[in-house]
Amino acid sequence: MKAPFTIYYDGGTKRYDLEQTLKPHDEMWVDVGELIHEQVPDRNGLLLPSDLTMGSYELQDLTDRGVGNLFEGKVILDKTFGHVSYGCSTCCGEGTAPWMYWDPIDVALALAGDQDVWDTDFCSGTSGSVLGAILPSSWDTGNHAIATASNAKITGVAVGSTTNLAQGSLIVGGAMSHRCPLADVFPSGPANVTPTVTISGPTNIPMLAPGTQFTDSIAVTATANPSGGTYSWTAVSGGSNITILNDTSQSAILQSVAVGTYTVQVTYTVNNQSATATTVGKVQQPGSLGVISNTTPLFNCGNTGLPAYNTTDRLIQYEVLDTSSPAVPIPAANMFASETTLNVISNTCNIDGPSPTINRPTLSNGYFGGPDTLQLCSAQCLPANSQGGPSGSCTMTVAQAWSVNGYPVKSDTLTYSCPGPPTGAP
Amino acid sequence: MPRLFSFLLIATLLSCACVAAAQGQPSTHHPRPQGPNLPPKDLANALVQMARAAHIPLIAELVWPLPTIPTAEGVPLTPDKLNELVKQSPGYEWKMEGKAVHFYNKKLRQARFNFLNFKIPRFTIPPDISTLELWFPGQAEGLLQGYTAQGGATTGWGDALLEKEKLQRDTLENDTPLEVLIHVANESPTFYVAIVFPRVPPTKDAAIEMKQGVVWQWGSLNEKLRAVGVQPPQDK
Repeated sequence: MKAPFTIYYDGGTKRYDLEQTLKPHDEMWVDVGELIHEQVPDRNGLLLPSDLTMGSYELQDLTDRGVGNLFEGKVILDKTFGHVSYGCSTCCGEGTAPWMYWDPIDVALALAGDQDVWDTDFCSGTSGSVLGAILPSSWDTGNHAIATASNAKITGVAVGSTTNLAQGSLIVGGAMSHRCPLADVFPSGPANVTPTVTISGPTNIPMLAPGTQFTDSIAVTATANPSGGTYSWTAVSGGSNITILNDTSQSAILQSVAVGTYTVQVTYTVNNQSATATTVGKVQQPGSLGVISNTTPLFNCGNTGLPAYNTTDRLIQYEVLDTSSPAVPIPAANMFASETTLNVISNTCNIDGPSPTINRPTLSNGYFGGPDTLQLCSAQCLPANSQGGPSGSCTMTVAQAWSVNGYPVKSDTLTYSCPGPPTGAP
Repeated sequence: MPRLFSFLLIATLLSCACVAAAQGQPSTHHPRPQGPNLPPKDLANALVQMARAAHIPLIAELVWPLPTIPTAEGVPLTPDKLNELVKQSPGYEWKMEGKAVHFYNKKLRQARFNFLNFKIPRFTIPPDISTLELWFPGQAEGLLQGYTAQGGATTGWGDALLEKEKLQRDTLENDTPLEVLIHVANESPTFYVAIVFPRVPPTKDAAIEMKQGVVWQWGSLNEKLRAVGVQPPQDK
């Protein structure tokens, strides 16, 4: 333990500080007359005046702020250098009413929280923990069906309110009280056991162009314990970017209104106790397409009913990006991708141009449902050459434009040929 | 007395109009689904949900705008329910084609320039329905412009579930696209296809012009409930 020893002199306006670390049963001997006569510097380098004849001293136990383990054992009066007198040591104790630091303490159902006990130290006038003075085995609650306590740890058993309490011994009293009673103390306070709630579900909400159908919302679901309570969903921030539907249900629907971020909170209440959870997300408007992969495998046109020959396809896996700069993905399911334009510009292949893809849903990661498959098989490409490729030739040029949720995201000009792969996208 | 009669007549007409509106008048504005990816309450989504519930293959030949159908989830595609659906969908009929239900708009069915009525001289069944989805619409629509050769050009993508639906390689001769679909639906009765025309094509030129706006929605009867987007592109 650390044991500071301070001498006050000159009417208490000046101090001389010593500090020593004591092991159990150690003693600290201080010869005040020698400190004065030998002019021994204190830990701050200060000296006691050589003509000093009067003062007081203070002994503290910095390690144990409760009862403490230091005591003044022996006083020797040495009159070698003059007259000496001694007034008995006064205690510096704690307040008589220590309090629970967490007041009330809220712990979630089936979880535990750490409690602490604080008191005011009359020596320093500051407050601090006196947990060491509290009997670990004394911790308890007013209702074990609501919460239990063990060594300053409060555990929620059922949603509701009760008390948490403990017992300990402290030296109490002010510095000038001249009394140092060791008093039993009984700190207590309210304890609330709250329900638990979490939110699951997607966080990215796509915008939907005016006049178009389909997905402009996501469902978020609260999972609460125990069941049987009520739900209330509110926007903590970004409330103008979304509309909350079903805001008193376990699952709420967040509908996009404007591009931006949002924070939504659910408050779950049961037995007059509430818990909250928040989810943060953003509303994004489709602005462009990102290319995840772009491959050119061989395809046997014999699968389409033509005599067999090989052509090279182009398979492009797209993902939907937003309008921010730089654009970032919109990981949202069921955005609808459509080819709003698919006009044949030129065609020597004696086949019709490709049929457009309309209203195809994206996957939950915002990818198109599969790689955009660009391929051409035409009788104009026949017959197959010795390598299985086309010996004939033809080309088809097509203007293509994609939209997602009604917003234009990409346009290009594709050129198909017999050997492939199609070019132009990208 | 004449004044009273006039008032009653107007009131009766108004109430009839309200009932008609509630029972399936075509509308481009179907009730907004109260949740992400919940199907809109239109005829196409109703048919797909009912086909999924009954596990009966469906070929739907529809015209935009579609009648509003209030509830369909979990309702099976039985003759009684189909008859109810027809009552809510003026101008529509249904017919069993082997194992498959063919639900169609009567005017569209009889339209001279409905490409589903044109003959394909020779059509080879592809290895699976996903490949059919990729190639068949272009081949069927190309009939309007006299493209009858096999092959074609594609964009878009197939369907992972439909890729598992394997088909027997077969060659059909002189069948219409509708007959091809019926053939496939009877061979692999686990898919639906809803074909929504922007309108009944009055002329060949109109049919060619609008074919880029024809919405083909294919899916597996084993897929999860999802919205089927049948609204034609707006900026055609």
